[in-house]
Amino acid sequence: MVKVLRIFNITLIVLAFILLIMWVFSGSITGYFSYSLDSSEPRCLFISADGDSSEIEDIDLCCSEIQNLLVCEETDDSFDYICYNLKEGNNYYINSKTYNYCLKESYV
Amino acid sequence: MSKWLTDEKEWQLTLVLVLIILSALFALSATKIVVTSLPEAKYDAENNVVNLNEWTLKQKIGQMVIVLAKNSNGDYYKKLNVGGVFMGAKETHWGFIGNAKLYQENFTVVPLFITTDLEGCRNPFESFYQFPAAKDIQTPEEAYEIGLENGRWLYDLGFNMNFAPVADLEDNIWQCRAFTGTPEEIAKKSVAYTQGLQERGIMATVKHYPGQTLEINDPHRYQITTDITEDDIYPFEYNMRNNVGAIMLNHLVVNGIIYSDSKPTVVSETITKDLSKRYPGLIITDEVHMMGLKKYYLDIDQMYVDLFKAENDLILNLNKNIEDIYQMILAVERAVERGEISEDRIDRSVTKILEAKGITVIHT
Repeated sequence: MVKVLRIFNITLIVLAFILLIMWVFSGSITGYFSYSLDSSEPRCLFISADGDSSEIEDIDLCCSEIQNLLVCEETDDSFDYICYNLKEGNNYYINSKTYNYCLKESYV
Repeated sequence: MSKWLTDEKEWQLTLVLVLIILSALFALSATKIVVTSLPEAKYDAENNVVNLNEWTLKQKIGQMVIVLAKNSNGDYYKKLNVGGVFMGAKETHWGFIGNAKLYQENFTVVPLFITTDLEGCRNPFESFYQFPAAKDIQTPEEAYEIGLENGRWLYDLGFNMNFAPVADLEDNIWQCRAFTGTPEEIAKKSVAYTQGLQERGIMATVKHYPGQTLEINDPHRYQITTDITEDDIYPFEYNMRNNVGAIMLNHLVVNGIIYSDSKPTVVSETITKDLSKRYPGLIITDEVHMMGLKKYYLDIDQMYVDLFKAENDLILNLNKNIEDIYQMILAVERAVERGEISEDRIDRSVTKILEAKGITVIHT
């Protein structure tokens, strides 16, 4: 009986661990920790299809914009992510601080 | 004895683990379980009639919310009786058609507002179609033709409401969303665009009242106070006189020709009540999680209550978590129950929304 119970308990521990992992790795939690640990300033640069650029100071506005775009991918240049519907169209360049804020606030 | 103790400890461990797992599962899905158990709103589809007396308070409040079109939330949106959904980008026009149909047929009882931001240079169709930017539109006649074309396009994709035109005098952020010219020229172009759009069955939303939203390249991060002039509000007033279907309010604190009581415009009862007295169309908030509004409040529930206490008809809340949407509905329901907001005030907005959808509202 004790042996069966032990196996059952081990299964429950594994299940509890999976739930903990699910919670920790949900976007808002990883975003929260990554955002808190990153001391840089959040940045969001909009570059239009015509090449005009503008810094968007409001991170929530930036998150709200990229939430509605098709793609956000990592990039090698001075920003960490580029978000767009069409690469040759309007692009939003954001750093990790901004991206993690958007994760933390459940935008992406 | 030793064997018995081991046995007992194993049982205790089992009990603790089961409790932990059940609590975790409940914490992860409590709101979803509660929302799933809510009753669906009643709607006589055959006669296109809603008897408002048959709706719960939660259902009325839900009808005043426009949410993000997130398909995994669809069943919850149906239970919450949300008034509309906002669609972001998709790769093909079939994606939009399919999604609009999915929402209207599966994720709602009452017909929804299917909304988006088609503002020319800024739109969710960019990956497969290009539109002229508002800044490049030269005349009201051209604006009217583009309004017709945009309206036809949106209608074919299943939309019935567009959050455009922008009637701010300048756009210093995207540098393409605003019309150019004098306030009178901007007013005429935006009204012409609105007329074209609405002739194709798409409700236009002139934004962002009372102006200057896109002029300050920091409109939402911190609270911005600005002086509004007659020039700023002229295009909005002109649109309201010319039957624009809806007006969207910004989050700026305003002085000058109008005064927002040192609050963001969108929660200023002075401004929203004045608008609702002289304008029969729908009053819509800008997205409510932007800093300019959030930074004004320490308590998000109070922000939600104030948004409803002001005479906003539709609240744009694009938080993808159903928990946040439900939290807003509960906060407002409690405010009505304790008398901070009257149910008549909620009923007025719900009636306006349903009538704008072409639904007959009765109270029997």
